Amino acid sequence: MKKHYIKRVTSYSMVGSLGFAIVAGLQGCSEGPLPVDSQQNQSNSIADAAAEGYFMIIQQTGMNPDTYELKERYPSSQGTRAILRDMNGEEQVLSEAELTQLAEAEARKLEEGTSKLSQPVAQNQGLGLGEMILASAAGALLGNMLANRLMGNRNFQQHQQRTNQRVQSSMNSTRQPAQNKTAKQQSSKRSGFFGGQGGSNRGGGLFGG
Amino acid sequence: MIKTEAVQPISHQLMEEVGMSWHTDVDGTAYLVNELVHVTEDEAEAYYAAANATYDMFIAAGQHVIDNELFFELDIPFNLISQIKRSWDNDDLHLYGRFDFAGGLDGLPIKLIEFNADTPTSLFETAVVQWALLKANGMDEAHQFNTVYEAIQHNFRRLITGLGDDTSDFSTQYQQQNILFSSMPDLPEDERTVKFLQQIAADAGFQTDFAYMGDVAFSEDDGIFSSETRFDYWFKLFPWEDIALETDGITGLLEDISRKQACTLLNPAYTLLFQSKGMMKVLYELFPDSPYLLETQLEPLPGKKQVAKTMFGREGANTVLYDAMGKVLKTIPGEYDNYRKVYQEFAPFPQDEEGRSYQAGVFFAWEGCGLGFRRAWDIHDDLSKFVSHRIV
Repeated sequence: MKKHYIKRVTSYSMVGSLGFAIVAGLQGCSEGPLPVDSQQNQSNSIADAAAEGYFMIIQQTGMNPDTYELKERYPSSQGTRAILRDMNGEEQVLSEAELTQLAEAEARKLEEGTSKLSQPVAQNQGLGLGEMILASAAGALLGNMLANRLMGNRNFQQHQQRTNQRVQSSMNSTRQPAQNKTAKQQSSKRSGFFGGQGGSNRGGGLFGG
Repeated sequence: MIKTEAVQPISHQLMEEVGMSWHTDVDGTAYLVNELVHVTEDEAEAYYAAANATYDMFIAAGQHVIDNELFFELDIPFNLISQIKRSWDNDDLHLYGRFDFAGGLDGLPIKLIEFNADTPTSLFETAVVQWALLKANGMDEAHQFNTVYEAIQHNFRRLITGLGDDTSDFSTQYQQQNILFSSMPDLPEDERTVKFLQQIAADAGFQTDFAYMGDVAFSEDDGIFSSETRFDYWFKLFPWEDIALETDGITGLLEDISRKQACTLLNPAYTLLFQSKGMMKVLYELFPDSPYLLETQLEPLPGKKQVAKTMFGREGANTVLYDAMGKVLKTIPGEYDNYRKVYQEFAPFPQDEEGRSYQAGVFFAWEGCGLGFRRAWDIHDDLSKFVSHRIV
C-alpha cells in the first residue's frame, strides 16, 4: 500500500519559518516573539525581511572533509540565523554573530585566493561550512558593498548561483505589491463593514468550526 | 480503549512566542494536552482514505444540490445563491477544510460527523503545535500524519498553475498576483490561523498582506483593497452565512465583485454548501451504502440514538444528544437556534479509560493532509482539548 501521509523527507519547510523559531526556542536560543504574531500591522514584514536577513537550514553532507549543503532559506526580519543539522541529525542554532564571523573569515580567504569559492565549480564538489555560508548569505551578513566586491570573482559568482539553484526557497518573487495594482483615482471604495462581534469560551476564536 | 503517551510539554513562553496564545481555556485548564494518541500506520492511512473518499462525495452532492436547486433544504441564504453557483462553475479553489470523524481507532468504523469547509480552525495546532511536541520530545517528526503546511502551500500555487496535481510551474506562471488575508480584531486564535495561512502563501511565493475585516475596502468595479492596493484574492476567516446576514450592503458588493471577477474569494462561496449540515442528509440519500456516512434526516430518527444539530451550528453549539427512546441525554445551548435542524444517527467515538471520547479532525487541502484529535466527555464543543498524535 502506498503511504501518502508520511512526509518524504523530514524538513522544516513543513512549517516554514516557524520551524526555525520552534527549534531555536526548544534549544533556549529564542530571541523574542516572531513579528508575524506580535505586530498588529506588520503588512510589510515579509518584504522587509527579504532585505534584512535569512534563516537557513544547513545540512552536513559529508565528513573528513566536512561538507555542507544549504537545504532551505527563508526571509527573516530578525537578522540572519541558521540551524545546522549534522550527519547524526543533531541540530545546532548558529547566531548572526557566529555566521558573520564565519562569513568574514571566508571572505578574507576568498580575497586571498585560498578559499574553495575562488576556484571553479567542480562536479560533486562539497563546500565547507564557511564557504557554504558565504555563498548563501554574503549580502545579508557582510553588507552589499563587500558582497558586490566578492561578486567580481567569477568563480564565487558560479558557486553562489549553484547554491541558489539547489536550495528550497520561497524567494522567487518580490514581495511588495506591484504598483500597478493601486486603485484608480475615480474608483469609489467603501470600508468599515463587519462591525462588533461577541465572545467565545476560549477567548481566542469565534468563527472557526 | 485509547491509551495516551504522556510527554514533556512545550513551554507557554515558546507557544506564545510563535503566536499560540490560546493554550489555556477560560476555566484555567490546558487546551493543549501533553499526551500523544498512538495511531497505527493503517489507521492513519484509513483516515487519509476516508477524507479523500468523503470529499469526492461532497463534490457529487454539491453538483446535485445545484442541479436540483436544493438550497432551501440546506438553509442557504438566498442572497448568496448566485455567488455559490458562480464560484462552483468557475471551479474556484477550495483552499482547505477539516472533516470531523467519529471512530477510526480501536476498530471503530470511521464516520463523518461534519465538514468544516468554510472557516476551519485547529489548523495551527494540527500543523505546527503537534509537530513541535514531537520535536520537543526528541521523537521522529516523520511519525505523524501531518503534511498540512506542504499541502496548503501547493494549493495556493494552484491558484496560478490551475487545478492539477503538479504545481512545479508556479514560478514561471506567477505574475505578481497578490492575496489579502483578513480576520476580525481581538480574536487571537482566528488571527493566528489567518496569519499562518498568510505565511504559507508568502512561502509559496505570493505577495501577501493582512488587514482586519473592518479595514478592507470594496469597490464594485475594481475589487478589494487594503491601503490603496488592489488584491487578486481575499481570504477571510468569516463565515459566509454571517456575511449573508449583514445589512449594510456588503453582500451586494461582493456579488458585484464576483460577477465582474474583480477579486476571487477564499474559501469560495460554494463551501457554504459543504458547511451546511443539511448536506449530511443529501449525502446519505445519494450514497446510502457508503461506509463513512451516518443516516441523517430533517426529522427525528425513530428508535435510534441520535444527535440533533442546527444547519450552521459551530463548535458543538445547539446540539442535543438523544437516546434511542428519544430521551435527552445532553444539551449544549447556543446561538444558532434560528437555523433548521438535522438529526444524525449517533456514532461511537473511541474512548479512554476515564470515558473521554476522541474526535478525529482530518484536514483536506487537495487531499487528506493532517490529523489531530479533540477530546471531550460527550459532545465536542469549544472547551474540548486538542490532543496530538504519533504514528507507531
